[in-house]
Formats: sequence, structure tokens, C-alpha cells
Amino acid sequence: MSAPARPRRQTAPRRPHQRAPQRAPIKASSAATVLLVGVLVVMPTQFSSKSNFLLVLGLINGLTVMSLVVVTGLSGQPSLAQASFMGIGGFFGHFLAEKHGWGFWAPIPLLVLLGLAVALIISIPAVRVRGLYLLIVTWSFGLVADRVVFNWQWLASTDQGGSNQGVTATLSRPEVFGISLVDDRRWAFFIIAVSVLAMLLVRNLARSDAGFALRLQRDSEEAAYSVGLNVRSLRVGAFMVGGVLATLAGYLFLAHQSAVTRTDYSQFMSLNFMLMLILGGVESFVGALVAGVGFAFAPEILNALNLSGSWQFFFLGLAGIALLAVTEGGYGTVISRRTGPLLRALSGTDAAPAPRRPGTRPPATVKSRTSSSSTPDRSRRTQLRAASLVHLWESANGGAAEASPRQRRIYGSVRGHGVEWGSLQTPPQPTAVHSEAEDPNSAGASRPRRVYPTRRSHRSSSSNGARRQPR
Amino acid sequence: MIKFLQLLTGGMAIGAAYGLMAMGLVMVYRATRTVNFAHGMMAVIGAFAYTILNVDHGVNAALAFGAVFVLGTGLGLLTYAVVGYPLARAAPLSRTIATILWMLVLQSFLALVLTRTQRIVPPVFSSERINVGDLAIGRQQVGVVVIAAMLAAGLFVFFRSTMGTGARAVAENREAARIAGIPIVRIDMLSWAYAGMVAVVGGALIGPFQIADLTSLNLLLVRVLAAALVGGLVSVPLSLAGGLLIGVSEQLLLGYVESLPELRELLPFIVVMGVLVIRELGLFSTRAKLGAA
Repeated sequence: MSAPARPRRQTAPRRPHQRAPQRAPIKASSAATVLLVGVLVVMPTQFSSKSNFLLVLGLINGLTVMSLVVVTGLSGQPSLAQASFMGIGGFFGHFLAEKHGWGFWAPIPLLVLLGLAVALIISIPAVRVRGLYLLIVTWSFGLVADRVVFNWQWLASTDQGGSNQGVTATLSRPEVFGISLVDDRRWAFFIIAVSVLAMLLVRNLARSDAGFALRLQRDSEEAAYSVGLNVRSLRVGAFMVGGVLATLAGYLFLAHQSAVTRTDYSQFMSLNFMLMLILGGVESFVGALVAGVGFAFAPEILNALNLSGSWQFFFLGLAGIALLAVTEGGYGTVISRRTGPLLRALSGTDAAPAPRRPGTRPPATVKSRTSSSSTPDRSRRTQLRAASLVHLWESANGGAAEASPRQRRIYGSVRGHGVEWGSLQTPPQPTAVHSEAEDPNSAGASRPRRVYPTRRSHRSSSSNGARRQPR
Repeated sequence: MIKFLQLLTGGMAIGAAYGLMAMGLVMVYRATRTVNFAHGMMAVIGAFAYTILNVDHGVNAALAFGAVFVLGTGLGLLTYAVVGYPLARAAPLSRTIATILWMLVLQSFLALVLTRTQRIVPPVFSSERINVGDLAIGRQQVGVVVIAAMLAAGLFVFFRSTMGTGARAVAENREAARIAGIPIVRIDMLSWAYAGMVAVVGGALIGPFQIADLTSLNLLLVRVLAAALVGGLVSVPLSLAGGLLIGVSEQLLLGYVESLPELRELLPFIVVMGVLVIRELGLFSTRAKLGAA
């Protein structure tokens, strides 16, 4: 919070009751990132060739789980087609790289386009309503990919005469700056670099305005509409980003395995990715990589214990259900506080659009105001502004946070009573709203005025109107 | 013509089984807004349990089939105990994801328990054929349609009982139903038990018509989901119709477009996308209900 360049902050010191904007979660996550990268860099030098193989496998799985973090964690749209996207990357990558002799690098732009196109087509009809429809569409798409696309013989470089396993795709590992990556250790370093780079890129996306807009539409669809966001484009866009990431992960997976068949990209794998996502924390990129690596090594651990590999999914599946049950849908609150908002994201799913009260106007848009600014804490300010708009909007529509616990229990989530209170079981985070006297561009964090939480109990509904937020 | 009729009757039998299983999905979705992704795995359990009882232990078909009903109900209740109850207050999406994980758990359980993961499922109603003119109809085919009709009729009667009225109220508005004193826990239990029963029975019935192994039976779920989606996941008659639609068109495609066996696999995806696009265009009458997903 040291900002000597801004004299306003010095002339107007923060009052004691005002809290600084919370930055701790980002710091914790950065520490986790540094730790992860450190461990990852040391691992290949200590590992045997086989362990390095598993490590890379895990990281590539982690990349796919990361794509699920974008699709499910950030935008709240679960997908069961990530393994199919991987397969698209694998088989079409083989088609271009080996059959047409393009080499390792040249097919990548085309694969990106392909991933984007497929994701676009299958997500457009599904994303208008949140959640379950995309699950069904992706699940049935997975069957199509598994049974039809990955059996197309023209993808194969050699004639395989209707073998039962479908097409076998192959790819040899590339060279980077003239260094061959065939050696497992070098390959491991390469994949570590790729995964960390991907993680930083995706995390950057998550922290950008777009990432915030994604989480905003996830946490409150109505609020996102009210601040002028195009919710559908955001969801489709997130699904496309996830699709591309999984496609490229599939391409790397092919290079890693050197030969794959459709069983490597079966729908069962998509289920595994969902499990990894739950266990790794739905909004955690570090967790995605850790879960991926953990799953790669789990069979070895079970092997050492003389247990069948099936126990892995038996126990971890039950653990995932337990985790979901314990955190009441806000899975991840146990793992990381940052994933908490998903509780609202997921439980808000069947909220009927709250009837807008006469006289309440949707607040001005977030986008237009911030587009001109380019200061480093721009996205931070956007967050604060948008979050405050959310809460303003909510309070104008019946004030979920102003209901006493008893009122919330009685009204539950009866539709047609304004904001669906069942979706707001956790009180909203304290949020700053800029007071009107200040210049909106510099007021960002300097003089936040707390408007929430207002947890006073037994407010009658008539006083709700009186306590409506200042305009 | 005779080929067409033959395919039609075969398709109706399979479609009735899809519709039967889709009714279970619909019941759970109506009560809890959960899509039960473990439904297909329950069907696998039904097919294997029936085969093991009938073939390995020599229990006669009727008794084994009766046992499958009991097993299915138990499995449905177990699913409720593991997924439905602990996550009763969680978000629908969390519960749905929990059913996906439950599918994984059931699958690994089966992989641990079963010695052979591919079986030939014997038909419940002998494999004899009834000849109607030139048309030969398998007894099993008639049996599937009859059982599906009976279970659907059971649902129809149930919806007119006191408890069924409660179930309909829960489907309309769960919270309001709870406030009105409708025992939603019992209705959840009934819904899950019914879902488990139809999934397991459906699996045992459809087993003889196809390769019965862990994956291919589990992938029945895609077709069952498509059938249920035709009914917007809420309408029992429409999802039965959806099941018939998918079953019949699947058989017709297999029979008349033999050069393209992939079409059969494409069909559920086409139906799902078709329903969503139609809904998108606003032609669908259950749009309002669908919107509540």
C-alpha cells in the first residue's frame, strides 16, 4: 500500500476501522508457485528415468486439469470432454506432424485453431444456462470423439486395417535449439518449463479483467449482466481457452508417450480429470499440477503396497465426494480460501432471475471505465469496483446480506423473492465502495468506505429500503 | 417393409429400455436438480448381477430378475446415502459432480470384484421368438416394453397419490415444498430408490441386446441422457418418447445405413445438440422449466 506518488493518501490517512484490501491469498498462492517450481526443478535431477516419465505424465495431466480450472473453476462450467480435446490434439497433431511431415512445431498453430473451433461449436448452445447442459453436451461429445473421430483411418500414417483399438498415432520428441529431447531428463525439464509457463499465463488470465469478469458472471450472473458483461461470450471464451489448453496438452502427451490409441483419451480419462480438479481445488492452478503429478504416481504407491490400481479411484473418488460434502459445494474452502466463491457460483445456478424493482437501474458498466486506464493496479480496481457494483445491485434487490439468519432460513431460496438467498449462505466479503466525492480513477484503494457486511439481525423488510446503499 | 417392421420392433424394445432408464434420471432431477451420472454404472451392475445370479449360481430367471429389483432399490438408496444426503444442501452442480465421482467409485469397485469384465447376459424372457405373420418378435423385446410400461404406469399412479403430489410439488419448487411441510427427505429417498431400480433393471434387460462390458454398458448413459433431455430432464412421458425415438432411429440407422456404423454413436450427440438448439430458438414448450436447471 505504499504509494508515495499519490499525495492524496498521505493527506487522508486511513481510518483505523478501515481494512486494507485483502492481498494475502495472492501472496500465499505466489509462495506455493515458487515452492512448486523449486521442487519441480530439483525433481528431474534426482529421479530415475521411470520417475521422470511419470513426472512428465503427471504434469501433462496437470495441464489438462488446468484447462478445467479455467472452464470449471473460473467460469463455473463443468466439462467432461477435456480428454477428447487432448485426443484431438494427439490425433490431428499426428496427422499433421508425422503423416504430412510438418515436424513438431509447425502443427501447433493449426491445433490451436482446431481446439478453438471445436470448443466454440460445442459450447455455443450449451452455455446460456449454466452448468448441467454443458456437462451433458461434453459427455456426449466425448462419446463421438472416442468412437468416431479417433477411429478415422485417414488420420493414421500407416494402414492399420480396422484394428479394434482404432488409430494409433505416433510422434517423436522435438529438438529445442538443436538439443534433442529424447532423453527423459531433458524432456522433463522441457515439460516443466512448458507447464510453469502455461500456469503463469493462465494465472495471468485469471487475474486480468477478463478473469475477474469470468468470476463475476460465475458468482452472480445477474450482476454480470447488470454491469454490462456479455456473459455468454465470456463462458464460450473460457471454454475455448480450456479447449486449446487441453488440445496442446494432448499433443504433448502424444510426444511423451510416442504412440497412443484412442483408449489413452477415453472418456474415463475425462472423469479422472474431474476428480483431479476436485482434489486439487477448483480454482487453484498449483493444485492442478500437484493433483496431476499425484495421480501419475498413485499407481506406483499402490503397487508398493501390493494393492490393485482400482483402489486409487475407489478411495480418491470417495475422498472427492467427502470433500464436496464437507465443504457443502464450496469445495476448496478446505484447500484454499480463494476457491470459496465457488460456493456461491455453484449454488446460484438455479436462481430464477430476480425481478428488478421499479426504480432500480443497473449500475454503469465496468468495462467502459477501466479501458482507458493502464496503471498496474487496474485489474485490482476493476475488481473492487465490480464487486461493489455486485453488492449494490444485490442490496437494491432485496439485500441478501441484510436478511437475518432466521429470515434466510424461512425464506430459503423461494423464487420470486428477490435474490435467491440460498445462494448466499456465506456473507459477502467486505467490499469497498468509492465515495462520490472522490475521483473514481484515483480513489481505488485510498479511501474505501465499507458498505458490507451488514450483519445486523432482525431487519424488517421495510427498513431494507431505508438502508439502501448510497448512490 | 418386413425389414422396416423388424427394425422398428427391435428399436422400440431398446428404446423402451432407454426410456425406462431415463425415467430414473428424470425422477432424481425433478426432486434434487441433480443429473445422476452414475446411472450407467448402475445399469452395468444390474446386467452383471443378473448374469452372475442366473448363470454362475443357477438361480432361475424370474427369481434372479426379482433380486435385481431389490438390488437396484438398495443401490439407489446407497447412492442417496453417499451422494444425495450428505450433499443435500450443496449446489446442484456439486451434487452432479459428486455423482460423477460416485460413478468412478462404482466402476473401480466392479473392477475389483469382478473376475470377468465381459459377459454374455442371458435374456430374462427366453430367447424364443413370436411370429406375427412374417414378423418375428423376440420375447425379450416384448418383455422389455411390458416392464417399461408397467414401471411408467407405476409412476403415473404414484404421482396421483399423496406422496406423489408431494413429489410434484418438490419438482416445482423444492424450498416452498419444504416450508409447506412436505417430507422432502422421504421424497428424495423414493426418487433415488426408483432411479436405482430402473437403472439396474434396465441394465439387466438391455444386456442381451449388446456387448456387456464395463465401458459399453456405462456409455448407455449417453443415450439415456439424450432421451431424458428430450423431456427437458423433467417430463416423464417425453423422456419415454425420447428413449423410443433414440432406440428406433438407432436401429433404423444400423439397418439401412450399414456403411456408416458411426452414425449410431453420433446419434445421442445430434439429439442433445438438436434439443439445445431448438430450445435456443424458443420452440420448446418446457423452456421455462429448462431454464431452472
